[in-house]
Amino acid sequence: MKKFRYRIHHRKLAPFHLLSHLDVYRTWERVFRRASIPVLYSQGFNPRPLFSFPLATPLGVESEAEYFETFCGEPVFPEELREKLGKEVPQELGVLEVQALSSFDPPLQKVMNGIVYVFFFSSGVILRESLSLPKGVTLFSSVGNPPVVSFLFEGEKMLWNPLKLASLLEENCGFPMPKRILKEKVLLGSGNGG
Amino acid sequence: MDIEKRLFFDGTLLSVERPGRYLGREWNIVVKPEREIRYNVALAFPDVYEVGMSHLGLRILYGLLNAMPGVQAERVFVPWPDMGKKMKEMGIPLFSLERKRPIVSFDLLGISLQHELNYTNVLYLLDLAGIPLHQEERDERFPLVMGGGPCAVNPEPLSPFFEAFFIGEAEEAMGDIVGLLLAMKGRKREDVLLELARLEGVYVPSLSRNPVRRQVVKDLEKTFFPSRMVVPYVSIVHDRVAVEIARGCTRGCRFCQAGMIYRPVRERSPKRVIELALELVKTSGYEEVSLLSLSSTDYSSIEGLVDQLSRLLEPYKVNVSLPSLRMDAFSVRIANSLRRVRKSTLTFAPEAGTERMRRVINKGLEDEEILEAAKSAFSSSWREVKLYFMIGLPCEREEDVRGIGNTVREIIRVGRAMKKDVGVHLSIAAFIPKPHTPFQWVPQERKEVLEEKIRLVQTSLRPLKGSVRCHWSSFAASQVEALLARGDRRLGAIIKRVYRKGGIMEGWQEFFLLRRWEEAMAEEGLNFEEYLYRERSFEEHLPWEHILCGVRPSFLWEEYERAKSGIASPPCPLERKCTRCGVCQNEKVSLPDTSS
Repeated sequence: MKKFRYRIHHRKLAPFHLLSHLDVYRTWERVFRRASIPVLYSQGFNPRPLFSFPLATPLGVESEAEYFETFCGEPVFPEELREKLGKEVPQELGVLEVQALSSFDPPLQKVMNGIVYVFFFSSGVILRESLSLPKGVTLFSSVGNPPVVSFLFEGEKMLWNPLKLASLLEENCGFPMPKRILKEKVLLGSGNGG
Repeated sequence: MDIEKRLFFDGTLLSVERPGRYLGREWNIVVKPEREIRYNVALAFPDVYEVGMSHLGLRILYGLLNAMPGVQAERVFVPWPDMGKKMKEMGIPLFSLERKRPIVSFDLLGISLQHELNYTNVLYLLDLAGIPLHQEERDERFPLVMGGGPCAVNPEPLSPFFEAFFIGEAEEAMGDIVGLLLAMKGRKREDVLLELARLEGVYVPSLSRNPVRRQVVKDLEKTFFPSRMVVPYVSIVHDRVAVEIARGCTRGCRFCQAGMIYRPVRERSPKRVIELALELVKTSGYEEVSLLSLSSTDYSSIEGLVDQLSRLLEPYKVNVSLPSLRMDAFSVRIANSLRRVRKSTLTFAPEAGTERMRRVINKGLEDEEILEAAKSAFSSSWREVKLYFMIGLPCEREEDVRGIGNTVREIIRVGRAMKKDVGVHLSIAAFIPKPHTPFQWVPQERKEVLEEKIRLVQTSLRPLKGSVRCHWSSFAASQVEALLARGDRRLGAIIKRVYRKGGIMEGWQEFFLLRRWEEAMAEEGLNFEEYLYRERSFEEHLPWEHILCGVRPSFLWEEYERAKSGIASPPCPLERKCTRCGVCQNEKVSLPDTSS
């Protein structure tokens, strides 16, 4: 059977950060059916659409950088796919981009180099030069007051739950819990297809 | 301050379990422009979101009310205790899911009464909303609180807390009720209640106990059914499209309240069912369609319907399912034709362990039929069947309780002759006498006796350990359910005391406490003996007598007498000239066409 591969890039903004990864997965399954997209299903007693989510964003974290891949049984123009899906989801889960991939393009996990998370604090935070961050996590930028601080997660810490960093900062540096955490972008390296 | 802004845009709700259940914003919700809204209805289900959203009646009402011009209906469920506590701490009143509006600001609060153990949650809802609990403490500044659903056939225990109850099926009557309330919006509460009490099917407990006739839909084919369903994000108990194929049941099982109060049986045509199912799948994206009725295989063209619908839905990877089935070979054949896309569990309800006991309850199912059904299930691809039984039935003997174990043993024996690892998932509940049934006069079985009986079942299943999983309901909770089911107005004070002692979410085992009920009963000088453990006579006045469900009390009594003699009764003949129970003389209803 012919398979056509697509990568969907969407957002997950508040208040939808209150949904778990599984809730979002189920939502997409129904969105595809409402939009009449010819998605392919797994075999067996309980067929599910062929979706793969390389990065599960934890409950509580907002995101501008959600990605999943899927296969369709017939070709669809990426732009058409984006439009049809977009009509069936709330704008906070809106589709930002659809990319057609060939079967030999590496999966997202293989081409991503890091993830940028933005922490929005509600009250003053004293950012010291010597902020002791776990290996693999670096301070990316900090602006404003109360500050908006970006961290880059790389290497082993790439799939880390950012809420873990928030509680580490609370414990070690006396930071308040951030009001919001946003997964701002996934840094994609060379070899990204399309 | 804006409730939505305070709760939903930061980490505030990360400390509560499953915050997604409070989110709202589901696909297919209705929010009308402010300028079009003249009447606001809050539809409440006194349990948590996942349970309430699984209830078809609520979805029908939501669609029905929102289809009325000028009416905005919104949903509200009981927050899990962690969320309830958080809301109290933050000073946030109970709010609706759609617009996050305080419930106290609605014109009408409709509460669905499906289960007696939810009664304390009704008070919890009112309290969280900031609405005085007692009806007489409320005036026109507060929403009018109206109850409905099957428990409303005995409204007395909850009557101190409600302005009115609607008795019966809402599709045809709701237009008049909301029309009247809209026209009288802002008028004095007592004037509104006087007018409301004049409407058919409406009971206003503060006025009188004049007889109120349960309302039924005359023609299921033409009546309202939603073509869109709200699609939850969090997974709910029954997470699927539900299409009601029939209402009522012809079987006349004597323990079954639904089988008595939803008479007569009415069907929706296969054509209409298919039309609705396809439309609902298209607008919801759901992966499963459930065809609901009290007895699926009694639907006149079930085989054709199931076959046609599952073929139509197969290309979309949508499967069709049925609720629990009658345990016979025909049902297994139907279940087999459902397995085109997804395999579902096979659930049967033999209800009792011996043929004699099944004659007493008028279940009329022979041992041989049960074994034939098991045979055909195991010879198809199923390895496990789920079975529902009851204990504590009237006229029950030790041999009937042992009969449950014997039946299961026989089923396993039949299965093992065909396959290696067959299993039975056994679910046992305590029988509870319900109002408006032939067993409304019988005593409730005591908790201790039920516990002894379940030990008997367990002992007889011991040799089958590994093949049988067995669950049973809490017998302490069943005593309270029985108390409230046949209770009178004095129980209002008990419900309130239990609520004040912290009784909420009592339908959930982890929150139920019998002690609170025992204390409350003692404090009010009432005892369980009077309500539960004595036989009532035909002459005795029953607290629900003023609610008329169409079935004559003399019919119920006759059925009770026949039960005591172990005589089965035939199913409804579905003929206009039948006069047995009395329903068909009273109604101009459209009966299914079984003449062909």
